[in-house]
Amino acid sequence: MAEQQINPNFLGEEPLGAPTIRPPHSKLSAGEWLKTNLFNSRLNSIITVVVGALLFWCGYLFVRWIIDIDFTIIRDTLRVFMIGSFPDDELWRLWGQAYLLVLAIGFGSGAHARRNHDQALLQGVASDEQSLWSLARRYWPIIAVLVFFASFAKTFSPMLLVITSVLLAVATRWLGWVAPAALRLRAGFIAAAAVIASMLVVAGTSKFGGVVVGLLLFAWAATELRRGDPATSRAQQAVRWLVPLAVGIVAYLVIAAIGFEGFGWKDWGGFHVSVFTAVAGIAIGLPGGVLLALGRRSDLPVVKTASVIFIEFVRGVPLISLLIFSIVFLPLFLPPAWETPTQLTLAIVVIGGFSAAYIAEIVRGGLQAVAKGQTEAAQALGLSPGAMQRLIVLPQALRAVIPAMVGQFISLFKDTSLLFAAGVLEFLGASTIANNQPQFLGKGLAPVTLLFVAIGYWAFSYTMSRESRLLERRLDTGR
Amino acid sequence: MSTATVNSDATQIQGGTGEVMIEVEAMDKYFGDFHALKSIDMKVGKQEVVVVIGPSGSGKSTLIRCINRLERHDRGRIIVDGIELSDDVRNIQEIRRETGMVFQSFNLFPHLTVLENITLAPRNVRKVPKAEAEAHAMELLERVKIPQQANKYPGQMSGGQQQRVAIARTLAMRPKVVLFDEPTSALDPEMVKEVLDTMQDLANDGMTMICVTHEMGFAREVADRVVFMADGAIVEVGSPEHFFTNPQEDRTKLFLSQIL
Amino acid sequence: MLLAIDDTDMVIGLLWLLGIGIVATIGYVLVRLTRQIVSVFRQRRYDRATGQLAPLWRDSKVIAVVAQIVFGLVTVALVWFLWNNFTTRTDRIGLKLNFDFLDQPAGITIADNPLTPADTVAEALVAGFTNTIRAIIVGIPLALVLGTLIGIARLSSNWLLSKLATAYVEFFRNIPPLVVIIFVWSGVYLTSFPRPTESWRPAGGWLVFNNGRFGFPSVAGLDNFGSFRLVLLLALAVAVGVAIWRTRVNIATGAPHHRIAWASGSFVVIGAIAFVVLGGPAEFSKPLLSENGREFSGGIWMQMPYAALVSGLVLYTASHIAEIVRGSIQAVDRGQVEASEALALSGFQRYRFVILPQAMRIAFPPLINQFLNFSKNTSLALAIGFAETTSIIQNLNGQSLPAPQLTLLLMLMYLLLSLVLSLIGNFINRRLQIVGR
Repeated sequence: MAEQQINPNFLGEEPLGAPTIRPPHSKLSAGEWLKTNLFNSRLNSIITVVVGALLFWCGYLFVRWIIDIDFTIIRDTLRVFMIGSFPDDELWRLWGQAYLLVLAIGFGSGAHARRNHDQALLQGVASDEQSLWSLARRYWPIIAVLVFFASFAKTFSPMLLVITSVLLAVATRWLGWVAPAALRLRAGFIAAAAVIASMLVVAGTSKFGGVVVGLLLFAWAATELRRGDPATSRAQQAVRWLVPLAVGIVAYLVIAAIGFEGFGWKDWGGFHVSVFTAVAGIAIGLPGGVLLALGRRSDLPVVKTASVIFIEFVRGVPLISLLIFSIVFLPLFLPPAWETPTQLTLAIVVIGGFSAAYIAEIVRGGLQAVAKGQTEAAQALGLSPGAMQRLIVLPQALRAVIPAMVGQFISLFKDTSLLFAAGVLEFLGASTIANNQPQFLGKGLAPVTLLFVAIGYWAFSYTMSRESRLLERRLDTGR
Repeated sequence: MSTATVNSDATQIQGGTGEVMIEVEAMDKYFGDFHALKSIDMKVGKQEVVVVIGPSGSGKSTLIRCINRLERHDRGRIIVDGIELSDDVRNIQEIRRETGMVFQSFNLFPHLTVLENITLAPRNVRKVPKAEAEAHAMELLERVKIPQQANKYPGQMSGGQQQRVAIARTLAMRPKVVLFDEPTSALDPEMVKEVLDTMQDLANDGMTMICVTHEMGFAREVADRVVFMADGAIVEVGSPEHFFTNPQEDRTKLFLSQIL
Repeated sequence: MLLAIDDTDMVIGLLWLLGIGIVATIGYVLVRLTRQIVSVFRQRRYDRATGQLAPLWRDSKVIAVVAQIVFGLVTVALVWFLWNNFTTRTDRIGLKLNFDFLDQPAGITIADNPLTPADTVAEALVAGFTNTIRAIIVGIPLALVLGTLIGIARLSSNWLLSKLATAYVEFFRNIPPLVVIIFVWSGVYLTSFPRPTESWRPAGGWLVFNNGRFGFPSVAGLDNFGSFRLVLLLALAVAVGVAIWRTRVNIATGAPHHRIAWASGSFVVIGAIAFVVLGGPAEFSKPLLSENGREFSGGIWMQMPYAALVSGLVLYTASHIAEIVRGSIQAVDRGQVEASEALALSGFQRYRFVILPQAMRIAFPPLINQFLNFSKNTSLALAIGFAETTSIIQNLNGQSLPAPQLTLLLMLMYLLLSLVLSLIGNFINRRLQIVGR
């Protein structure tokens, strides 16, 4: 599809092919501009004056309020806002986690951008490298808000973390761009490995961690073996299953045996837990949602009914009620021998199911958008139903819904503010904690802390929604 | 008008090697209560080229879509190269592997390059090694005269080029039969010829073909037999000359007068 | 009343609905499956007769049926397993799995509600649900109006106005609704308004504001109020009749119809005459607040958490509605505008007859979605203590009542709400689409 038709590194807001030479009347003098944009009719003049006056007045009040604000409460409780009650001497784990995640994102996106670039070159379409400046323009709100957060810290170390992370992001992105082709081809696995490592740094190695690493290495080995020619003999096919299986099991055994002490998530909190829950929710919801969407479109009434019931039930009730469900019901469904998991675990299970239902509807839209001729052509070529979904239908459907998926992620990120109902201390909940500190109690500082929280949510959501609109436009122009 | 002289028997193979490739026997197809195909009997021989014509809604597309199971026939039998087309999933897969199809709207996979479009099925269905599949794909692209487009995406090509890629994609599976479902109807007039030329080359190479098309010029040049369908039944069968010089049925005459 | 239905019966009715739904679904699935199995047998008999019988394990129809049976069995096994765990665990903690508690005293009170601790759980649930409905009924129209205005403002040719609208949308869309609600509650209402003892009483005491509640004037009925209401109803009918008559005149003669002016004029005239004839059947009621700020009477009173919930959600939802409105207007095909320009329609006529009807059709489905979101988001009141469904349930959960059953009821109530809203929405949507075609 023709995302590649256009310059994949195109970053500007204007549509492609915007003329570089403007018509003679496009440059307006300041006076003309005012006249056409603000005072072109009597009604508009009145609106301009009224709105302008209102804006000025509100701005004045706001600035006066900002100037008067005492930010001591943020300074004193910044830790709670960012990481909840994460213990001091374990902080290095969070640093490690942050660096590994930055590495994953930087390397992955660098390799991805390079792939688009190379493909464009292959097809003889113009494409230029992304400049640092254009990246800064895309991600400034996130960087700005991280600096903003860190600026409240009493020590320099949080700011150091932000600065080094940004530098690392730039460096790894560059690495992703210049890395040898063999590495770039496997960038997805490298990024996934870094993400898993970032979890292990905090959680330590456990059997569960072993399973995750084992699965990753299994998938990696299986992909490597399938990269070449298809298996022709039974024996070859067996090797292609057995070798990855062995790799996965060995990885599991190694990880389970390492015994690197970890740290559970009962003390996680603040912004850290908000971001983590949103990412985990999408990570669980994506495969679940794809399955549910396929189930809902299935010809088999039993499968279809089951999918519809799950999707419509989850979408018909508020997330808060599901979070209450996670506390009240979910532990009762577990085998009697099991201990009750932590509340964050329960909440993540429910949020995963919640986002699966919403993603299912998004994916269903994508599946419907795949032309009927595509499946017919695949059938006519003799592809099996599974291969048809995997190679033809899902790639097209999922690509078409990437923007909607980003939108769902934003929405989920905002929804993490409801985690208070599941007894998890997240970013917004930290505001309550801060205001309940004895020295701030009853001082009416809630607006200050809420403003801080709102800026945090806003910067991330806004950046992502801009990215999704950019993607959407690319996909649109690609058609 | 003497209906007695009308030949509506489509089971007499003309041209080709004379062996039977496709056999359709008393086949019925319903869409709900609509009787789309009424007891069709037809045989197509090896290396024979059959052109099916008829007004829209006459069931000609449905007929060829039944032959590779894009539609399930409700009664009767279809046998392709000795394989019975039934609910047997193995037989369905085998027939689809032996049967290529070219669609009116090309149906190229937009997310794959031309080369990937062509090598997809050989690699995933026939398990051909990648290098071999790509070499064959390039050969086919040479044959349809667009080798320089291998790394482009379908969206970057003209309709005629896309349809030629679609033909190459079908040939990559080395099919024994190719079904053409109005391959030139969605093309701009200036691109029709390049596709018809490709089809003619294919016929000259001895491919068994069933073509649903309105291109009477093509039929005259290439077809061994022309089948005229109306209202879900085969109305008249004959050589291209027969249709051009003395069609018998009134409906045939009316139809031909409208398209010629 | 012929049937005495109390609150307990209503809640139990909800459970019956659930039961009927489950039974109906299972029945539907079984019927479909049975029909499929029968058709497989029939097909295979035909295949055998014609000699094209495929082996069982390769017959696509058999595979489909077997796959469904396996899927169904796995699902049943899973449900059975979970239910088993559930009963074992509830047995262990001594939880009784029945709904007898609905008739027990709830032991809670609700602000601005006559409910006493002695009233039953069912009554408390109904009171909570009523509060949810109250928030929805007031909030959705407000959000629709505000959102539409902002959406249109974004398309304004006035640079300042459109940028302001854009800023509004981009701000509110990207922060969680809960932050907006809590900000409005604790950041604006609680801090900007005086304590009850120092209430503001602008407009000669007809309005009362303090950080506990707002008071507004209302209409109180006096003698003949019932007849007056009846007359107003008649006047409404007359107004509708007049509007229809004017439309006919317009169709017959081409004269301008001025329907709205004629209809509202006749309504006002009839109402005014009736008011005088009936000797002043109604008067405005002034909201009265005692000096200590505790007792209040007259007028209409709105508690602070309610006001915060509704205004917060309205601000948030309006940003989404604005985007829908803008998008739908822009989505109307450019050719439509050109065609209506070519027909020499005026700017207003272009909007009224060509663009808006089409934009409305595009906007309606996503708007239903927003209305549903609004209703579900009323559950955020849990964070600020407005006693709607969710808060009440959480409150009751703390009263040593069986939490699982209460949580089930909670979800059922929202499910019912969503179901009813989307049924209404789909109904209107279908009408819109048919009318459009």
